[in-house]
Amino acid sequence: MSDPAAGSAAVPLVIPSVLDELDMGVVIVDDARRIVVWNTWMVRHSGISRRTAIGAELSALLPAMAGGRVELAVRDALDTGLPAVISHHVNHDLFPLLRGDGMTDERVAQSIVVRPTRTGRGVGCLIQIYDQTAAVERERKLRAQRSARYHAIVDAARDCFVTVDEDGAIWSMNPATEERFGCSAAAMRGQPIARLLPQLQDLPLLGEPLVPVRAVGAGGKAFDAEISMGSWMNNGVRHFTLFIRDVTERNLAAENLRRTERIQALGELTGGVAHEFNNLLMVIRANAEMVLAHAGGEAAAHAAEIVQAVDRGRNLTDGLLSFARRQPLNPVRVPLDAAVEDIQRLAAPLLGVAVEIAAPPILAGAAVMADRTQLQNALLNLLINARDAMPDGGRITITAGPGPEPGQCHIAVADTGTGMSPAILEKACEPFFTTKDQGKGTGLGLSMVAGFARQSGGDFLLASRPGAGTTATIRLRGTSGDGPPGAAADADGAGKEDGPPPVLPPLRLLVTEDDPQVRAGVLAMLAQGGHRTAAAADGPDALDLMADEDFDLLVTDIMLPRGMNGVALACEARRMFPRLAVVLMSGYHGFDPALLEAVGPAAILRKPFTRTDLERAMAAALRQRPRSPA
Amino acid sequence: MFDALEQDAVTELLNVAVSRSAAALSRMVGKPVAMSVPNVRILSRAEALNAIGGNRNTPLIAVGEQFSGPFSGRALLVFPEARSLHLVQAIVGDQLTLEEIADLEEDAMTEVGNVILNNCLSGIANMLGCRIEATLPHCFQGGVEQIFKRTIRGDDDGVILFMSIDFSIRDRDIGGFIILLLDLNAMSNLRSAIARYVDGVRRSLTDRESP
Amino acid sequence: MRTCKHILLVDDSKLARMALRAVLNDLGVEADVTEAADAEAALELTERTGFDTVFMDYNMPGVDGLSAAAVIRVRQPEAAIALVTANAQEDILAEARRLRLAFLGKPVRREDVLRFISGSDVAERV
Repeated sequence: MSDPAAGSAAVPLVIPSVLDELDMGVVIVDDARRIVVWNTWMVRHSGISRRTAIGAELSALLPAMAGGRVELAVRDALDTGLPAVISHHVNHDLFPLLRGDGMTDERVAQSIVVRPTRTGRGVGCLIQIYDQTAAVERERKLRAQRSARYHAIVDAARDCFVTVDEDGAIWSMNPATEERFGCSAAAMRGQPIARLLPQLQDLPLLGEPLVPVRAVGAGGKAFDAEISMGSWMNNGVRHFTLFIRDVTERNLAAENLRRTERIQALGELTGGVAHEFNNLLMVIRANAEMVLAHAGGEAAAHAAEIVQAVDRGRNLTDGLLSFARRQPLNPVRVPLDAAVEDIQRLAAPLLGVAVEIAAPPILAGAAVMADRTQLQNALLNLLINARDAMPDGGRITITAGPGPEPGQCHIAVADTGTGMSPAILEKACEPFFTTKDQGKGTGLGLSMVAGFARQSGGDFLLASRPGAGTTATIRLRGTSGDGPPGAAADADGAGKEDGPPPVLPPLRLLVTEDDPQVRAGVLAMLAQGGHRTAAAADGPDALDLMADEDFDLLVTDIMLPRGMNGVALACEARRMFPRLAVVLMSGYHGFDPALLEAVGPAAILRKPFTRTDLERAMAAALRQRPRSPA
Repeated sequence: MFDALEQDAVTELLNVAVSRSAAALSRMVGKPVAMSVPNVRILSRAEALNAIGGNRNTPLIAVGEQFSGPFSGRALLVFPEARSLHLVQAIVGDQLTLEEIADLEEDAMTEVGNVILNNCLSGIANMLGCRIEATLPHCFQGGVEQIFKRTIRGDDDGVILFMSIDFSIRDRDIGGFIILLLDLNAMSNLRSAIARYVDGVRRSLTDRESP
Repeated sequence: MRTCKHILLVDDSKLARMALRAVLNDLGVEADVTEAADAEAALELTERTGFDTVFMDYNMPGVDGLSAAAVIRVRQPEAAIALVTANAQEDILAEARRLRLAFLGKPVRREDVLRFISGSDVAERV
């Protein structure tokens, strides 16, 4: 049509019949802007007859289109000869055409080309109207399919998804993002991503595989976020989809693990040191006692000093072992109400008048499985710490009860004291860490409590802020058993009861200990009882001796060299002599309790021990030994 | 190439042209369109390539038309793709998703380019009192080299009237470039058209002042 | 016919100023015509000198014509001011109306200028 040769006077006469065959709208206006061609397609879809259309001005025929894009384009084409393309995507004021296919009354989505042409009277303007409805519908369906799949994933995701363009402008976000950041997708559309994540101000960050940032979410609450990015091209433009994951909890767990590992490593170290130390104390103690027994006067007084110093040393190693979770525990059912009541009574004299102590009522029947004494020590430690955190007095609140996890109980000690900075809080559970003045404490307090809790199958938590006081919480396994409190067998039966040492008959004894000094010490303690003693440095030696003569009692260290520990030795010896009484000496108890059961009844004696301790253990071992099968 | 007054005339010509484009764009978007004073330069093909600048692979979208009249050539409107999406979004509104906008981007850009270029060309025609016709617009996508290869041949001995234009719609900056490519013949025709125009102004001034 | 003795032409294009001068000559306007090549110069001039008629280009480097016209409107409330531009955006037209500016399209047409200086024109041509 734009070919001038085809134009000229022929157009209005011949071409219309061809135009009427076309499956598109054709309108031609002359230089006076009057319609000279209005083809059949236009008649059908506009409902305006050719008779009405021909000769009319476009804006008069269709007033809704006056001043609109089409009219301006017609003016341009006529005045300057410039053509125009007009799309339904961009314009809403195109021809009022209905599909008129007998099925629907849909409007026709049009794309229009307006170009200068010639009519019989000279310059004119050709308007071509293409029906895009089917294409639009097809696009819409495709898009719906695509986005249905996308939205099924993204809208349901708990992670945040944000799409940005190359300039960092936000295009879309999923509901999780709206919720997490407390914003609306509509309001954020087009805003720079830095509004959500200021760290992304530097756009080169876009495209990095993984970016950790500290983000501020809804309500100004900060959280650790990890951003991974996918980039994709759409029509040649790069876009980025940001997956923002809240990793606060994961980071916290990793941090806790790191601390736990460090504390465990420290535990290994201190456990080892304590064990060696206990052996030394054992030697010193045994020899000092010997001096005490044989010497008199000033020497005896000095020896008594040594014994006292050794006892203080033992308290220290107990603490270390407790931190290292190597102190033997005797878990029994401890009702919480009783435990809290006891500790209040016990601690009252220590706390002073300036400190008020309160405990809300505790659910009756709530009980934990724990070593009663150690639990008491732990609580005492916490109360003393709380007191020291409140130099001007204050209030301690002890709460206890089931939870937070099912099957768990907790005891929390909260003070109104000075609180701790995060740096101090992080180190508070390490051994030898103390904020107290030198000489006021050993620094084992909280590390012991934490060690006790972990060894009992629970954990220990500290929450504190400077000026806002501290809450220390011990969480332990709860128990629903109704058995009488403390009914479980006292495995460490020896050496607990007070009173005079038992009188033992002369016995045939075999002492097995690899440390020659400790061995000598033990033998020296036994020397005065009228016993017959033999000694071995390890398990195989001991078994050799037992093959040659009978023994009533085996006193053996648990840790022995040459591949046979004291437990294995005891088992083997019992196989040969079922009625053999057994005393197991231990520097610490880093072994499997199940092995102990294999031994059968045995007394356990913790190093360092006194002669009296040893004699009580021997008495207990004799009482417990298996009856004669006879 | 031009004397001072002629250079002034070219700048004013294109200033008027781009002003009309801004007005047309504003009418289309239904929102105010802020516009900077266009910076007009005469460049070679290689210089124009550099002037579009950025990364050579930065995806661009271009709308081109051929025009004819007292001087003939090609007119090209070039936007970085990312900017063009902002422009399309400004036109079709915020309700559409990114995919929908990307789907109709080419259609919308063709029309926007058509409106901007037509107003530009008709502005020039108006000033110089001539008639300029043009073909329908085509849309091109790709890096700057690709687009130039398809629109401005390497062996073109013509010069380029190069304009940086800066529109902003609702605080969205959509800076782009208008390129008018004229071969030497067309350039000399443009020069004489401008010279005639300048002369006309001069004469009507002196006629009055010097009788 | 309005008084039209002191005219200020503001346009960054020398040619545009010349063209406007030519139209004024052609219309036989006898007046002092002062030119300014940007809005800053125009603002300086209007501080000292009174003008009854101002032609103000809109799109200029630095301060735009509309902002300059707003200041001049305050300083010289009686002056007839025309905003001269091809940028006939609705919001620019609206602002011009608010400041009681006439609107002249570019390229300027003789009849538009005549209507403006004769005072018969306050309605703008789009």
